[in-house]
Amino acid sequence: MCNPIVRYSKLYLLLAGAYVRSRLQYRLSFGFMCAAVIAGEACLIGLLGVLFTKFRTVNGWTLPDIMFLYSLGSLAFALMKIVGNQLDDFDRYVVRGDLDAVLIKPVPPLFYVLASRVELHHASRMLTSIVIFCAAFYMARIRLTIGRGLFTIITVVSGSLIMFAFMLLSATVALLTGKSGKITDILITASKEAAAFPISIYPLAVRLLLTFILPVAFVTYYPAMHLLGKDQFLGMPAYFQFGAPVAAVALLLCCYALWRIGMRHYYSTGS
Amino acid sequence: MSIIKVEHLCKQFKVRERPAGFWRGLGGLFSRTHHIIQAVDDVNFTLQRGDMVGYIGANGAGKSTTIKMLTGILVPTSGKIDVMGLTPYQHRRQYTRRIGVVFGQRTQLWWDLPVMDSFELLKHIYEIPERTYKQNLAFFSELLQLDCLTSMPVRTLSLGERMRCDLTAALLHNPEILYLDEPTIGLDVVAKEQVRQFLQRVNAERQVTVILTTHDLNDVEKICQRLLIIDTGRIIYDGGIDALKQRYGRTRMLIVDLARAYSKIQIENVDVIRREGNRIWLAFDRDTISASEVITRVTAHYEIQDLTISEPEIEEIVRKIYQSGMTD
Repeated sequence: MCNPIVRYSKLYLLLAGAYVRSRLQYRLSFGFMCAAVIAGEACLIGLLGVLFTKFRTVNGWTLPDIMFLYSLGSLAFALMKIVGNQLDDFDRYVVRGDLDAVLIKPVPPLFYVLASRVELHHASRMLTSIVIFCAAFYMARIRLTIGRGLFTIITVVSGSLIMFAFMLLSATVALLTGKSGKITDILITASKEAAAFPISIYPLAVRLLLTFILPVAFVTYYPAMHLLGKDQFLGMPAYFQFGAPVAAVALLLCCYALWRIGMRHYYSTGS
Repeated sequence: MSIIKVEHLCKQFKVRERPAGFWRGLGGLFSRTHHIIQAVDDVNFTLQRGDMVGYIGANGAGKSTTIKMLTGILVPTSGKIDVMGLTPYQHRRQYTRRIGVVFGQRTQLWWDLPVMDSFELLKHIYEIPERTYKQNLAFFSELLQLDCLTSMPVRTLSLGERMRCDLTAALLHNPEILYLDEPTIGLDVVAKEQVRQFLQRVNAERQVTVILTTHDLNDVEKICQRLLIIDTGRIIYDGGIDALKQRYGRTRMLIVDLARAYSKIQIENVDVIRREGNRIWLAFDRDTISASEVITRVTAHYEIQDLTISEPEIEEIVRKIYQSGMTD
């Protein structure tokens, strides 16, 4: 009827708003979730700090460098969590038959699923990530220019798209098998951890895996080369520092194609 | 004019044998050990606009699978579904605008929000014009007495109240077909009756084609003109309810309370199908022997206290069909 972009933006806000309002019915639980997320982040940072009072540098990476890397990954992760968290326990949608209720609505199923459970407490994760990122940005003595600002935003968005593609992949596994918990853990948690450290600490095979198969290196490492002014491409071409958007789009297209196939094979729960 | 046309519809499920444990489970993803379940097997039927059809079958007979294919949730293994010129799973987005679906066991309302919020959201999801929305809301509010419910969170509603709201939610966008999967499950007698009357009115006044699955044969008997019975994936009966009674309901039942206990009861052309203390259930074929004849014979040999003749219950008939399969 009206412009699809207008329609879907409006619908997204309405559906997300409905979920947030539902969650706010249980204010205490919402508050606890926020607190838990912030506490979790704080612990990780503390741990990182303790580690670096012992080990001054890792392969020439200083504490501010690592913090910068970590917070870049954590920003991408937070952004992905706000937009794509619904896919985290997608196997439940499949097993409990909630997907049936989605499929009878005249909207694309993926859109509906994404819009209908936007967890606002992940915004608190975003907040802590921004604070840490700004601190790291300052401590690593990166001069802020418009170009670098834009580059950072594009990097974060690309990184969250890469992580989102992993989510989509695990949701596709859920569609096909009704189970996805462990695969989600492996893909998401492992990629988040992997993104937090320079890949130069890994052996070649892992580096190749993190570059070409699960392109986690494009979430933090290669873009950080550009921002930190480093030159440790480890045999990869230097233009990989700008490769994040390309990797993100390519991966997302692959995973979306698999999702479409998964949708077709969706067998539902029977009765 | 036919509105739903189903031809040679089949649905197979591959059931993987998945071993327990993570690593073996992961291996199971790639293993080829599975068996095939034929959930729906060569189903054919045609519905006319304005029909009100009951679709019944035992658990696992293939009812829900058929409904899921009709609503576009599942893709058939083979066969054709043509609804209003559309193929449900292919034209899903276009198609779902024109149908309403109610799952009795699951609400499609937003659990923690007031009922009205759900209606508003559906208005946007289905892009219902404001005028239509207002008119429909007024119509259903009156018919289902929703006025005092709409401001309450869905989770606080009783099952019956929730079903009334779910029915409204499924009909707000003026669907031409309404699919109901077990709409009366778990409801009390009054609520069931309310749902039935409502469906009848919607069918009569709005020409909505209704197809419902149910376990409660009273639903079917009271509101459906036509009955489809499915068993192990196949349609074993398709026709009117009266015709079904005519054909399979020749058996009458005489329930007799005997004055005292008899060790053995034997009457020609009559089967004793159940005994409970001094009460016996006698079944007879009304074409072979008349009811008065049976009573005469019983009273001639036994001392009785009370008796009742029962009409064939559709439930009884269906049970027999399930047990024996179709004889012809």
